[in-house]
Amino acid sequence: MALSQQCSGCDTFFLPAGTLGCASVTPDSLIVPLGSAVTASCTIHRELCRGLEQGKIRISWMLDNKPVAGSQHQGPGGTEVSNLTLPRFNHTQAKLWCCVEWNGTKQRVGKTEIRAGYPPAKPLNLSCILNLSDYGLTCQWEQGTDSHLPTSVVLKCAGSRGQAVTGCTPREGHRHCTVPRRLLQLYRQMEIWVSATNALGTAESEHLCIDPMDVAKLDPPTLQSVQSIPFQTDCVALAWDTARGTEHMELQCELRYRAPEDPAWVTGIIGRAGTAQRCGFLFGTQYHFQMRCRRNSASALASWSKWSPGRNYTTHEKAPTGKLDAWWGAQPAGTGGLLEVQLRWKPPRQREANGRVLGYRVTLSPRRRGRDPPTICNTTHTQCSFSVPAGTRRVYVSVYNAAGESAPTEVVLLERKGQPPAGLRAVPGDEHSLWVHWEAPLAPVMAYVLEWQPVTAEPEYCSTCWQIEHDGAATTALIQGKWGLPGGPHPLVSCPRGLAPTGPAAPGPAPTSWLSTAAGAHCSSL
Amino acid sequence: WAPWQALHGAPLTELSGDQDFQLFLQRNLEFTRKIRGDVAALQRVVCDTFQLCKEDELLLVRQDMDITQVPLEQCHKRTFQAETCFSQIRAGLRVYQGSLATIQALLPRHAGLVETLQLDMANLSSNIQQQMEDLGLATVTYPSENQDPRPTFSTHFHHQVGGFFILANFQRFLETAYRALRHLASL
Repeated sequence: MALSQQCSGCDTFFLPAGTLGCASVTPDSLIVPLGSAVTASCTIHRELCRGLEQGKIRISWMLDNKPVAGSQHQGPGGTEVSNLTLPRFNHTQAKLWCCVEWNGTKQRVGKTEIRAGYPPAKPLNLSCILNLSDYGLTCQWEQGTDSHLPTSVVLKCAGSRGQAVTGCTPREGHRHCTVPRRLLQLYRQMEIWVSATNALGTAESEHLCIDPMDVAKLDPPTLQSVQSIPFQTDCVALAWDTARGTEHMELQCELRYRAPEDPAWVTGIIGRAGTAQRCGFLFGTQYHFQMRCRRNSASALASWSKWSPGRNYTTHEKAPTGKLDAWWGAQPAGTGGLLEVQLRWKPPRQREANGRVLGYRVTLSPRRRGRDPPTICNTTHTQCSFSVPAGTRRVYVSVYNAAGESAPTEVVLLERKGQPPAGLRAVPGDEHSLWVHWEAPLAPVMAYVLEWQPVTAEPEYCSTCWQIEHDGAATTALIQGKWGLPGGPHPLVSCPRGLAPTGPAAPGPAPTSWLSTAAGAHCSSL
Repeated sequence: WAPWQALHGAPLTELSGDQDFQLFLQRNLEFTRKIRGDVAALQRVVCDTFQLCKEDELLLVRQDMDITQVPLEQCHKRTFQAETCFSQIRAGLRVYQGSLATIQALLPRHAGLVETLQLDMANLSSNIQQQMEDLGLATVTYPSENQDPRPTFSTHFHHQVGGFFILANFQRFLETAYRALRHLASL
C-alpha cells in the first residue's frame, strides 16, 4: 500500500521504500493573499527515485487535477528542478502536485497545499453585558467578511493601567465569550476589544472603555402589591421588590400602566424606594401594571431591565357621575289622557360610569334627601317605554353601579316648535360610518340630535340609532353603525333620519327631512 | 493647583468639583455597599451555622484571642486626613483579605462567596490606589500573594469565634470607610 506522510514544516512527501525523498515541493509561501502570485519548485532526486535512475525526467504540475505549466532545468547534484509561477492564485485552498512521466503514465511524486485568503476583517459592533449572578462579562461582536483562512479570535481586556490580557476565547464559530470575574476590574474603566489574527495579519475591533458595572444586566423588579389608598380617591399605592443582587445599587425604576382599551401606556419614573403612589386613575377600571429598573449611573450604557411580569388591578368603584345623553319620542296613548313615551339614553362613558353599570332607573321626580321616588323603569337596557299622564313635563333617568347611583338626568318632555336645520346630507366615511352635514339654523343652538334607522324591506326600530352632538356650532357629525359588510348579499342600508336642534328651554323631537343612503353612496333627499 | 493638596485637610472643597474624583467616589461608594452586603451575608451564615450571632455574648472568649484590629482613625471625622485615610483603607483591606482565609476554612460550602469578596476587596483597593496616583499621592503596591501569617486558633470553637469577630470587625471597618468616602462626596 502506498502511504504518504506529510513532514510538518517542510512540506516534503516521503514515499515508502523506493521513492523515499524522491521529490520535494517547496512553495515560496503556504498562505498567500487571494489573487496574488504563487511560486513553487519541485526537485527530483534521481538517485532516490527507483525506476527513474535512467533516462530523461519530465516534470509536470497539477493544481488540484488541472495541469499547469512549469519550467524545468537541471539543478545542483544531478537533480531535476521545475519552477512554477501561478500569476493569480484564485483558490482559497488547492493542492499543488509535482508529477513525473513513468512508463507513459503521469506519476504523482510530491505535493504541497496552498491556502489563500485575506487578512482578518475588523470585528464590529462589540458590546458587553455583565451578568450579576456570577459577574461574568459576556461580550459579543460581528466578525465581518470571511478571511478564508484559519483565524484565531480572542477578547482582550486591560485595566486602566494594567497589561492587556486575554479575557476569553470564543468557541469555534461563535462570536461571543465571557470574561470571568477574576479578570475584571469592577467600578473602574476597563478597555475591551476583539483581536482577530490569521497568517496574513491582525485586526482589532474598536476599543470599548467601560466600567463593567455600567453594562450590568438587571433582572426586572417584582410588583408585590397594588391597592387603592386612600379609599374613594383616584390614587393607587404600589409596592415592589427590586431584583436580587441589586441591593447595593442606586436604581431608577419606571412604572407603566394602562387599561385594556388604552392604546398607549402611561409611564413615569419612580425611585427605588419600594413604594409609590400614583393618582388620576379611572374608578372601577382594570389596569395592567409593569415596572422596570436600571442603575442610576452617569453612564449612557446603563440599560433597562426587562419589564416585570404584569400585575392587574381593578380600581375601586364610585357612584356614576355626569349626565346621561337621553332622547325620547312620545305619542298619545288611547283616550285616557296618557302619553306613551319611548325614552332612550346612552350608556355613560367609562370616565363617568366609575365602574360596571348595573342598571338604570327612570322616575317622575328627582330623588331628594335619600327618599326614593316611585320608579317607572328599572332596567339594564338603554331604553324604556312607559305611559305618563298627559302634561307630564319631566322625567328623570339615573344610572347605578355597585357603589351607588348617579344624580338624575332631567329629560324635558316638551316638543320644540320650529324649523329643523336645512341642507341635510350624508357622505360615506368608511364602511362603518357616515358623515352627516347640515346648515346651521339662524337661531342659536345648544346641541343637535341625530337620528337614523336601517332601511330594509320593512324599516325596523333601532334603539341605538341616534346620537347627540353637543357642540351647538357644529354643522357636521360622524355617525357610526353596522352598515353591512362589503360585498354582502343584502347590505344593510342606513339612513340619517332626523336632525333636531335642541335649545335650553325645550329640547324635544322635531320633524325633519329624511335622507336615504346606501352604504358607500351619497344620501339623497326622498 | 495641585489636587492632592486638597486631600490634606481644610481645602477639600476644591476636589468636590473634580468630576473624575466624584465619579470615583460614587462608584466606590456603591462598591463598598456591595462588599458590606456580602460581609453581612457571611455574618448571617455564621449566625445560622454556629449560633454565633451576638457580640456581647462572646466578649469573655474574645479576651483570650488575638484578633487583629485594623487602624482607621485617620478616616474618622475629627482626625480626617484623606491621604492617610485612603492608605489605611487599603492596608485594612489587605489585612482582611488575608483573614478571610479563616472564614473560607470555616465555611467551605460558601467558598465562592468568600472568593468573590476577596476579588471585590482587591478591586476596591486597586481603585483607591489608582485614584491616589491620579491625584499625585504616594501609594504602596502590595505583593499579589499575602505574606501575613493566618491567625491560628486553639480550638474549633475559637476558630468559629475568631471568624465571627473577623467579620464583625470587617463590617465596622467598611462602615467607617464608607462614611469617609461619603464625607468626601458631600464636600
